[in-house]
Amino acid sequence: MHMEEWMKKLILIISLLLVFAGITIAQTGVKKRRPLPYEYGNVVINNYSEKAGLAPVEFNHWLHRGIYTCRLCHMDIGFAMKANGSAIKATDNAKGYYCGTCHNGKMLYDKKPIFATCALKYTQEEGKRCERCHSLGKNVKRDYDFNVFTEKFPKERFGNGVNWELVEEKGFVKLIDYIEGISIKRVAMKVQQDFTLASKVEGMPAIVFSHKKHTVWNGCEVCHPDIFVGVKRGATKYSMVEIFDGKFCGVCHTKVAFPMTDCQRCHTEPV
Amino acid sequence: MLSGLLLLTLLTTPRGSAAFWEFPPGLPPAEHGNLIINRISEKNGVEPVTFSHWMHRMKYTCRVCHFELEFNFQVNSTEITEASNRAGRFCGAAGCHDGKVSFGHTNKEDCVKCHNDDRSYGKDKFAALANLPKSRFGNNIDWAQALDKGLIKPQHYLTIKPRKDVNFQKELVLDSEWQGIPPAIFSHKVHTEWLDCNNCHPDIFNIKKKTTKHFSMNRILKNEFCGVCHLNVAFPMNDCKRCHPDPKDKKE
Amino acid sequence: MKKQWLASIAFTIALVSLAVAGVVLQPQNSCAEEAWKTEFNSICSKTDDAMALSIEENKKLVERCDKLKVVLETLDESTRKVYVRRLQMCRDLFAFVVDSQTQNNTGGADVKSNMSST
Repeated sequence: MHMEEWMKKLILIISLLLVFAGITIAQTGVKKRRPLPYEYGNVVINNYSEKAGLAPVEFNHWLHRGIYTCRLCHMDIGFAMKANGSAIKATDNAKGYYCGTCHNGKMLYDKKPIFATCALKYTQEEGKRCERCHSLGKNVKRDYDFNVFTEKFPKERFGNGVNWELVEEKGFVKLIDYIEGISIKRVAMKVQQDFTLASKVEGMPAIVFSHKKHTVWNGCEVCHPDIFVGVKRGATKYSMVEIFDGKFCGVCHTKVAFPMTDCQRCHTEPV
Repeated sequence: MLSGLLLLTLLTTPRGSAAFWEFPPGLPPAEHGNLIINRISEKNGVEPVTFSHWMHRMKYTCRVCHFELEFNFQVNSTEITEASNRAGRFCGAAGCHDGKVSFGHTNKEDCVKCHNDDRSYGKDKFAALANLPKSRFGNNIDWAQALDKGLIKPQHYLTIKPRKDVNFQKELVLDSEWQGIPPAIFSHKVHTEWLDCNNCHPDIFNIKKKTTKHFSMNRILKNEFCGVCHLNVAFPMNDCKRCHPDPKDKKE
Repeated sequence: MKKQWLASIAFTIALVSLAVAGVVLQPQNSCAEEAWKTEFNSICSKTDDAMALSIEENKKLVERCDKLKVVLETLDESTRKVYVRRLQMCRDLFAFVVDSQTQNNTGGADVKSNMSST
């Protein structure tokens, strides 16, 4: 009897230890793999793909952001900011929404029609087209190669290794911000204020946040209020822990926009 | 009672601490910090690479390679390929092994300079470091002192210049688990002379304060936290007092 | 000859009126579609300018969004999914601006951010 009780206690202790070990491992984090330049910004979308017998979709940002502004897809076309957030179905695409807005076999890019996405009916031959997007784990030949596409672009370290701001500033690309019938003709935005965000850690320089740089690509709605809830609700303190975890600035600056590897990129105010 | 017994063991046997904790086997000084990189070398029919830390840290601080050039700390986890080297990434970065400033992938005779699978490669050059301040373990060199005294002048950046006005000097006192063991003193200053903030934060040391409770020796010895560097590359932990200084002998 | 000529004219008129009827009758659907779309465009084109509008104007825009949402809920699945989300983003922005403007008007709590403009 005594032995059994002792065994029970031991099992309890061991299981508790395992649980705590699990929690602590989760907190310290097994170091995630660093995406290579051409992989950075890739998003895997799998709401229904696998259920439909197709490979999950691997969407790459670098090609699209070299052609369109963030606002065009994330506001005008209505894509969510998180993978799987839009719950895109083949019928949506076929009807000309989401990916199908441009990927319809008619809209031109680089003087060529952009290949069509999902169709409600297709032949077996046409079905091979599915793999162009439903490509996770498959070796699919792409029309545009990362190295070729970005060859002449101004470079920088980390992320895609491309300084996308300079790419536009220096005129390497002229980003498309408007699609007829989808986008709304708007009044030009007045320049928003830049402001500084003080840091909690002593000695860490404050961040100088440039509204202008962000609104040029995002407009207002992409960030407000979904990501940045606003002053009234008390959300004025953005902790680095939350940011690294993918909230606030981290919604974009962990996986798509330049990553937060270089602290000085944002913490720029003179101390 | 248990802790008392352990403490007794530590205090009575000079190498008691080493006997209790399982340190990795010590390498000769000229080989400490030399890593064998074999992620895909053998698979591709070439000898694994030997990378020598002491050879490189004379010329560059940790920050240059591990922050700017994006080399991971964990050996074999960085996706270095011949193609990426030739394209100017990783080893082949401009100003490094690009075939101009230093040997690269251009001449076949140079292959063996890296692809030699020999941890003791280049030990003849190690003698040149004889004039540097000594230490007991590792390379037998006190690199921090060497830097402080200006005996080595490693480059601290390639293209991303660190700000001089950001000078995080905070010293942390980390209490040890066992009674009687003096706390570990962590100096940010010594580390920021070599590393960038990003090298440690948040991947190795999460800024969430409560995780410092998990800096147990057991985990450190398994290549976590301090053990990421202070087992096989930076000075190893054989000398406890290096981090857990005896409060009686206070030295600045 | 005259009869045939009359008959062909009558036939042509009939054809033309059918065509016109076809065109005129159809827009009952496209007119409706244009109506909600026009309203949507009218409301949401003002987001970039919301900061310059008054609190009242922004509140009215929020109300218009709420009314339009009811209409959008009756559309087909795909259109509804996309436009409800777009309208939501639009509406939330106006509400956000109202909050922000109210905050500024009442002096606002002292906050670390949004203080100095460069």
